[in-house]
Amino acid sequence: VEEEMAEVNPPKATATTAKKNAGKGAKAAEAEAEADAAEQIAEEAMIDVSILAREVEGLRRRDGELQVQLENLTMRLGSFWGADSISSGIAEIIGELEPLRYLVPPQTGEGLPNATVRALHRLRASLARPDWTSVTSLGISEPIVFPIGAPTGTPDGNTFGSARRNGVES
Amino acid sequence: MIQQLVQRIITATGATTEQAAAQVLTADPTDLFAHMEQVWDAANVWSAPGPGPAGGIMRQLWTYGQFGTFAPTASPAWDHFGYAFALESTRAVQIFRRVVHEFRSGESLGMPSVFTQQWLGATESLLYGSGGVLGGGLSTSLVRPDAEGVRRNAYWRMFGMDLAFGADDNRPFAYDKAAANNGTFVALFEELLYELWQAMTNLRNSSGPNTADDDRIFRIAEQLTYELRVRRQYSLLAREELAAATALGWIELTLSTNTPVVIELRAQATNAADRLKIIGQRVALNPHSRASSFFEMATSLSMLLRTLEAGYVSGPEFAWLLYSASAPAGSPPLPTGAAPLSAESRRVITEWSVASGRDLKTRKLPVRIESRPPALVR
Repeated sequence: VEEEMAEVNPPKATATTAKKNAGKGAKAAEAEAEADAAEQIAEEAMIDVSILAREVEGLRRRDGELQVQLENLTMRLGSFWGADSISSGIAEIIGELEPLRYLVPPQTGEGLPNATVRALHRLRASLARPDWTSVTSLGISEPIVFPIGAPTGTPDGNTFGSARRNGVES
Repeated sequence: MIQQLVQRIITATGATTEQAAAQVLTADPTDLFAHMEQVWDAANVWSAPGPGPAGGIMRQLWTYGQFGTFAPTASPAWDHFGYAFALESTRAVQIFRRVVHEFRSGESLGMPSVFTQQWLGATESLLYGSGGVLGGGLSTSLVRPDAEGVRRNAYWRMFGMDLAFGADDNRPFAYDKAAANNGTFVALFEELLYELWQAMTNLRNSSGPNTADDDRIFRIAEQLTYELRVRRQYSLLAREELAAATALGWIELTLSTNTPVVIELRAQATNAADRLKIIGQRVALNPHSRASSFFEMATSLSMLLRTLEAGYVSGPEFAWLLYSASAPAGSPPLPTGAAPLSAESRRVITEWSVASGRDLKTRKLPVRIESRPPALVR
């Protein structure tokens, strides 16, 4: 106010007062600059505050929407599975899906072509062999062999051994 | 061929296994040779025009033979070379050579019964080169006189493998090692067995990582098909395969149960490997220490190799044939007798691991986790 008054009604210039006035002018200029800077900072801060306020408002609105969505999901799952919480609903879903895992075929193979099926069948048939697991011996009884030239035959009249092999009937 | 003949007798006549086996083991070797020609003719591997490759005399011969009415309806009715290789790896052929030698040259093993004398005649004919005029099917001649050498040559060509032992006096066995051989067969086959095991362990897997790789199984199977077939162009080695399967089938039948010759050698036991071990002790020649595994896997290996060679796994969608116990859900069921090869594959995986000493259920080297990333991605 003093500075403004001084400008409107300048005092009579003397050497001393001139010096004093010059010092006062510099200080006033500094003060004016500081005031301008403070005003600018305040304006910027106001802008930032308004931006932040808008963002906070948006977040609150978004939070509200998410809360609504979450409640909707919880309600839908709970009503569908007859349970009250998401975790119990998911557990029931897993329980329902578990047996389905074992229904998946072991590999994604395809049926053999007919020609291959027939060939495989023939191969198995051609290489078929007896099962020896229960066979302990052949159970062959040795024939009674008579010395060459000796009389052949047994008391009951049957022929054995060398006589039979040589085609000789007693 | 021998075990299949026993089965055909059982099927056709209703005989018991014991009766059918006795018929074969006491047969005249000429009848066995004639039937072998009949089996060869039925297979007709050269696709000869007309009835088959056999000539008129041979046809008459098997008609009069003991087994002429037991012709195979499905062919080829003999096992794969893999069967012969597995059984020969037990050293049974060399052990029985000594048995025949001892019986024929003295009485150190006792007096052979009538049955054993009949068996000795057939064994000498089928295995040790006394086939005579009808023995042409045994793939031996003055040019290649040793039947074991012929078989070793075939194993080398088909699998790039030699038997784990030399001659019966432990000298290196000399035979023709062909330059053209499937040297990568073993590595490929073991890789297939590893992948099959991975697939088997994941058959019921419903969660977690699944290491089954059908595409890799298919590619390895396909590569094995190519390798085996390349040695079989124009049905090469088929005749040798029939001779090998017949010879080793005879050995297997002899040891399948306590046959009279086994009893006479006082080698009664509950399985073929133990019988062979005792017989080996009688003639001072030990069998392979893993003979039991070779006996157990012989037939399964035959089936698996036949399937691979036939190329049934023609795409990754058919890889299940080699490791699944049933056809996949949704596909039409296989007819009776045409089951997948799950059981055979499992048997081969287990026994091959034991016989070779290599664990096929794990990788040789575990997957290494680097403590820091390689330089290129730093």
